[in-house]
Amino acid sequence: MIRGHDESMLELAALRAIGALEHDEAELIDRHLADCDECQAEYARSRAAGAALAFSTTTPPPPELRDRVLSRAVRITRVRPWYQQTAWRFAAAAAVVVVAVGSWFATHEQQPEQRWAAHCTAPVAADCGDLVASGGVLRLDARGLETPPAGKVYQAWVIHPKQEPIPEPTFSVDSSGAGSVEIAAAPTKGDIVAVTIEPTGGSKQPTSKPLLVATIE
Amino acid sequence: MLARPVPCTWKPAWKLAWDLAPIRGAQGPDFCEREWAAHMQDDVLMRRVRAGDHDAFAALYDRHAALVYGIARRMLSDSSQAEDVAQSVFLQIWVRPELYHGGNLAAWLARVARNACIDILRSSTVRLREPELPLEVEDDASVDEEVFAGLRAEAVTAALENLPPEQRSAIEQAYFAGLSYREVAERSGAPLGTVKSRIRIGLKRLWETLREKVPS
Repeated sequence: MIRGHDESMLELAALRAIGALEHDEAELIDRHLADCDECQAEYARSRAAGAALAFSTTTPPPPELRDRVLSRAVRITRVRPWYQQTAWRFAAAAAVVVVAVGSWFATHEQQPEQRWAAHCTAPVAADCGDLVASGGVLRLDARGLETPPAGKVYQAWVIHPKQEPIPEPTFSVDSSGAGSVEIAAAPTKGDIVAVTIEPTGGSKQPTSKPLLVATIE
Repeated sequence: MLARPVPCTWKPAWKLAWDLAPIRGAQGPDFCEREWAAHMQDDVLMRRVRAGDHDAFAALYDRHAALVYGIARRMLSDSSQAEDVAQSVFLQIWVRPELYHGGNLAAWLARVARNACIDILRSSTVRLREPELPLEVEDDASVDEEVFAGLRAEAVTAALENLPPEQRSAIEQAYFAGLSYREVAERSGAPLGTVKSRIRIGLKRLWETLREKVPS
């Protein structure tokens, strides 16, 4: 334990607690904190005071946010007990938000990449891309698709065995027929990811037959 | 005294995806699991969330969404981005509840939401990110408990307003705008040492005031 140092270390401990230091000083105080009870106490008090500030901003969110969050949670299937869960992230929010939130959680284990073939239904079983689970995100990388007619888009679906398709985001393809879409579901053996053509804005239930199918094996 | 919970009537998962009535309103018996969940302590709810209990997750959202959304909205000044942050935070909890190691859940959620917002705010700046907070300190939640038990929003607002304006301003810029003390000094024109001192003393006063207001 270190005692009797000057006030500057206590100041750094307080500033560190609310993230107000730059990199070098943060590293300096982190090393010091490990051995100094006085600074640890300063850090803990300042962190609690800082976190309490969040309470002054309490604002009820729009009711539709509740619907979105809970419906997304319902759609997520946990395939393993929680203590074996790996990092699954979501494409639900804007990419920068997902990166920001995910980075905080990303100090733990990483999910190894998994890949399954995606096939077009016409011609039958033609190679039309890959379904990839990587970095906590399930993503369909489609290729060989035609540009959809005006007013139409491609839409992905997740189909659990013997259940109705779950709507996923719509997406477009480039001039080469390639397009990607992120899917907010954990990959579960036996699930199918399909793609249909839907009106712009997407549908709640498919209105056409699948053009592309990938089975998680 | 709460009645013993009885199971709710559930719709198939695929129906829930676009028909949220079972989550919102009463289904089945008068007092089902979801009403019961609304009365549980956070640690009990988190245990149930780990077990995949949707009612517990909904209760957790109802209890803490205003905190998570509120801080994101204050920091980002953008309601749409704030919704995205809140959604991501809660869905991460649903998928990875094991990342919560105990202690005050509200304090933990506040930190997670703020860290996410800071990453967004800093994504457009050249400032080097700080490393992750040291784990051995991060896991010590005893001081959080001291302040957060019984904490009310009005008490925090009042404590903040009672600080000298220069201390309050320095703390708010650092905490809500995600600025380093150097950046706060640049913006305010105050010397670096003065800004450091204002933030430290302000936080200390804030903590002491809140501690006095919390019933022991």
